[in-house]
Amino acid sequence: MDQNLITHPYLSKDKFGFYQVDNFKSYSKVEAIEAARRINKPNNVHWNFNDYDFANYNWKIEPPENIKQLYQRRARQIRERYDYIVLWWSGGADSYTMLRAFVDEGLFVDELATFHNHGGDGDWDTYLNSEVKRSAMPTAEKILENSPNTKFRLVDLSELNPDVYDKDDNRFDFLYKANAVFSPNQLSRTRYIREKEKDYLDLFTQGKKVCFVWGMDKPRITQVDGKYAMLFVDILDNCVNPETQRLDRAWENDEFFYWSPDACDLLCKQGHLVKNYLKNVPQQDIDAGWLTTNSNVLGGTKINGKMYYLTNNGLHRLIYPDWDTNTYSSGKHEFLLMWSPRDDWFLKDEHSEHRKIYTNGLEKLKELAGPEWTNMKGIMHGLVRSRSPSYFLE
Amino acid sequence: MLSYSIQNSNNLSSKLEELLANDLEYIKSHSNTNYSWGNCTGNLSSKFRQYDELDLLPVFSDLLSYGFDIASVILSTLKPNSTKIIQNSNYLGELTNASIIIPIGFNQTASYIWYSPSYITRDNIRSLSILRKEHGNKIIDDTCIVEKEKPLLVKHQNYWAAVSNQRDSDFNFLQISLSNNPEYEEVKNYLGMYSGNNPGTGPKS
Repeated sequence: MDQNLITHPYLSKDKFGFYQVDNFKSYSKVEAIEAARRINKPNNVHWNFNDYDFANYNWKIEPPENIKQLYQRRARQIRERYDYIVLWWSGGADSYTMLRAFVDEGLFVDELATFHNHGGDGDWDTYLNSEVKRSAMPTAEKILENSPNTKFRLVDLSELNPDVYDKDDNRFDFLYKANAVFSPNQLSRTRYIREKEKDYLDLFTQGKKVCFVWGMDKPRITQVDGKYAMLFVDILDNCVNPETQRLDRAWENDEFFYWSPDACDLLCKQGHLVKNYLKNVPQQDIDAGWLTTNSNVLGGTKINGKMYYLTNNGLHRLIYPDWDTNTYSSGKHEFLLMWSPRDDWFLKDEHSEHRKIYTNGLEKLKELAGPEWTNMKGIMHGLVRSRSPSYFLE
Repeated sequence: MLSYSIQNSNNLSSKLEELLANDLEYIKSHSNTNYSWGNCTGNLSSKFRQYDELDLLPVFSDLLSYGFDIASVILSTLKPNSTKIIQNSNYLGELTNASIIIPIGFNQTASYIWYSPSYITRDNIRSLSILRKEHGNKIIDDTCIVEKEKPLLVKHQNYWAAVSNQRDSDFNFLQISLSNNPEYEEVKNYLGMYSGNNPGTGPKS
């Protein structure tokens, strides 16, 4: 093992998860499914997301600190590890809470970076851009008014996307550079920004330890045998691409603010906050928008014989105490993982070469994934998500 | 033997036919040597455990809303005039108390077969043809009809059962088992209560 990884295990790219088929290991889910299918065990793909670390943590004991203290501790941990930190900023609840933790702890954030595609859409009122304009930009300006040296970077995806399938054999193997989010903007966001942006390249050349910090993600809570447990799902390529893991470049660092083996106390506290609420839901909350009867894995409970599940706002209220649940959001789009409205401008020309590459790729993906791994609603809705083991909170 | 025909399933068979059309095509065209009992089977448990998508489906959404969790979903297609053995045990090898059989698609019927525990045991299923020759129909305790748009909740008494397709076309179906191995009566009571056709004891809080 690399001596540096022994000293600094947080530098390992394995912490962003990998797939196992018996003794075979891959960062690519598609490659793992292919391997499993070759031995006629198509379901035999295990997603290993810090299994060892999480299995050896005692999730049943609620940390005594309050949740804001734990967020701030995590912010300090990240700040002390790296020379230059870039917070990916959407203005949503996850990234807002992450930024607040740095600010409240008095830690300097070198850069906030936000994606948009104004150059492609030509409009600030589209799905992605409206959230940037109405939420991300004004909130960032307000929070950072006391931090004038923090750089605020707007990244136009439309400048990164156009030649994405002309690079690095992507036209043939882009399926191996995604695990859940196959849409073209994912490859641009997670790979090419750091290969193209001169500021980052200069920092790398100077030997600076640069870290991209992602607001990944809110907790997933389930019940097993009547007991509440936490779990994780493989949507991590939305931040860290399997190609980034494969390349394993020492100068490229990423941190998930929440879903990290270095943030178990924080995760555990979130889990207990949700569990404690669900075990004793106030009567007045039932029809107040905090709960829904639509099933999900944010956490559920049975009330008067029917299951109720937390809504996004219901969850945010519990774990993100500073978040304003009235903040503008474009909402979640049904095709976000595969054919995102973020890519409309890029894919709208049905005769274009890159659209053909993409749609042919999805057909290939359907064949490779087979019924076991194709989403119930079809390949346009992605692959079946893999889950981590359940970590019991009680 | 006990079974319960789930009413008001809101065209579940037809909805599944549409949702699983590609999967059935794939399963029929890609043989899987792990399942070499003459018919094709695919384990679709993972895709049916993505909670936020099950609200699409009647019966499944009901099960979730009563707090049941889907443990496994097996898709099978039976060739004409053939019988498929189905397994009624969980990953620990324990007998499951009940499962739900859902026919998929148009105009589908088949027979569900309960094997007698006196003749068919956990360990001798591979000798089924010999046992049949030796004991004849005694190996079968009972049968019932599985009909289109009438998902069938079945109480189990044996590690093995079978679905028999005596028609001249394929019979496609899902076999669902639930986490925590609830009792047949418990599942029946919930489904009966809310489907409105057979009031049971009602939900427990």
